[in-house]
Amino acid sequence: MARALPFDYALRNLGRRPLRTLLTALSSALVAALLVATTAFVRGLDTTFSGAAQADTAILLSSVAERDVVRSTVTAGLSDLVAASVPGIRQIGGAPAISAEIHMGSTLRLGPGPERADEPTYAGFVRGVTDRAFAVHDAVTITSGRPPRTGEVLVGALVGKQFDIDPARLALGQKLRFEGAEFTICGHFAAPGTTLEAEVWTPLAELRGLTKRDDSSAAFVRVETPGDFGDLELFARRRLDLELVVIPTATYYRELSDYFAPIRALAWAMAALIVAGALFGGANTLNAAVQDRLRELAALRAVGYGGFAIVRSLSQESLLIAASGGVLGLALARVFVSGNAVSIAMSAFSLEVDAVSVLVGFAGSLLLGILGTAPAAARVMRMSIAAALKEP
Amino acid sequence: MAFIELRNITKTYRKGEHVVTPLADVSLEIEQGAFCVLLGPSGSGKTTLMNLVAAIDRADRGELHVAGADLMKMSSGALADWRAQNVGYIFQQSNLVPVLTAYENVELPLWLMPLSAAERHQRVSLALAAVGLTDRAEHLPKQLSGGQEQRVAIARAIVADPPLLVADEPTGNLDHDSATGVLTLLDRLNRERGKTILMVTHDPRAAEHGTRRFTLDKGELRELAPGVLR
Repeated sequence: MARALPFDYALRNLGRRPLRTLLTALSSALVAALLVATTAFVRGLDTTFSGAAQADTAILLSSVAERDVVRSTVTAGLSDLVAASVPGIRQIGGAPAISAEIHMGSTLRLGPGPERADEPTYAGFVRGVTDRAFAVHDAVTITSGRPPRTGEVLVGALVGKQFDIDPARLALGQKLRFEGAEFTICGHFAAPGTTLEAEVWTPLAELRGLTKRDDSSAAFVRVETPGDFGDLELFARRRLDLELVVIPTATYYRELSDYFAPIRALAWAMAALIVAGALFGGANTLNAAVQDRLRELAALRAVGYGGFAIVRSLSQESLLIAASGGVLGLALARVFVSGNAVSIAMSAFSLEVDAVSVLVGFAGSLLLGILGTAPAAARVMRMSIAAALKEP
Repeated sequence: MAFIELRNITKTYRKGEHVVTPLADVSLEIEQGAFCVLLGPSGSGKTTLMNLVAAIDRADRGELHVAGADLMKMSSGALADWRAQNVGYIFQQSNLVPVLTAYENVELPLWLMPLSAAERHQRVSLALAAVGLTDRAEHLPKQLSGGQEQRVAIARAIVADPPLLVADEPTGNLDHDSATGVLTLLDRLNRERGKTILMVTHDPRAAEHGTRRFTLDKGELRELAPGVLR
């Protein structure tokens, strides 16, 4: 026997208390948008580091730097030493794919001219590179301009968002100042899904001069066989005088990602708190709806509808509200979350509303709708028909 | 076996700290096609007795058979199915679903039955015609008068063609004319369609429509002689 109430009953009940329906839908929208944002943040944080990893590339760092590339110093001639001593280094453009680099945080100023006390400053990440950097970092694509020469910088796609400034201020030909020198922006680069996009790249030799260094921070080495860094490790063990450690980029970026695990946990915890609040509100709303309609629901039971048929109808109401709120939340997330940059220390990554975050957001709002039905459902199932028919 | 048969039915419930016994060892037999009226003061257990017969409440002990079913031995799910097929319930207040039209309210019991849309339409149309509300089919309950609402409720009670109609003060909230209309309708359903009717009322005029009259007081059920109303 078909035991379901007509769907129209659930649909039209939504209009009985329009304000309550609207508020519940808005709380569902908030949950969906929040879950999308949290998922985008966590996934962005994960992929932004793993995106820069390459199976055929390792980093040579100072063994005393505790795996921190900024604190690391390696000899300036390390690239040539590795190229001459280690077999299996990949050749690109007739030269070994080894990129010696300086990685450092710096205070950046926009525009030309002498330093002024009242001008805004920006904490940025500067990388000193040679042309070999483009042979090693596959993710990087120059989107406008050209690689930097002396007195020039190449600016990552997320720098403007990280500094929260008008993109026109980082256009080709604009000036940037750091480490006491003025640089002209000669190009822009993209490296989607990586923290590289939040960096400013400048010639290695010039940065060494400005920072009075005669070394590099690290050397990125690309090998012929992905994952095979045996010769590179043998070199590091033999040249104890260089105090080197070899870390595959996959390992290095995974460790960086793990470092941010507490931040991810905190993001989920905050989301869970807000979801719990919305769940309580939704359950309360539906419970109030049942209280308002107690006699009507008892009459339906008297007509012959079982408790499950009523609960199913209430679930339909709840899911309709949750789903419409969820769609609204997804739209809000698309507008307000997608493409925004999140700054972490001197880095940044872009928030992307992808299929996974949409799924999590929408599923979360639907789950909210289902769980929110539980107290009302329990009440309907326990309801004494005879007693409920006497309700005022 | 009688259409309705109660043997030593006892029902108690808690009211705050007190235990109330509206029915104590009540026995009753009603033949099919009777129009029975239950009279008695407020709180005497009339509605409790009617609810037990209509299977929307359970007795504590005793035997209860209605339309050939042993209601004391059935699960709540089975009782719901049984109600859908055997009982039409008419409440003091119409208890119509406010978001559904008169037509849709009358159609509600039919969703529980394996009927096609055309069959449902035919039955709803006949039920609405029987209560004289064909022209109000698309009206919402708030667009109907109290008497019209109660007639829609009667149409809902008879649309599945159940053998038993139970009515709890069906004229309690109606003016004189509307009440007369409802009682005339119940008379017709009893005489022309053979429905067994169990009606609870305070109204002596309504009680006159019954073929058998019972009074319930302090848990005791007593049948009144024809023409006697108290």
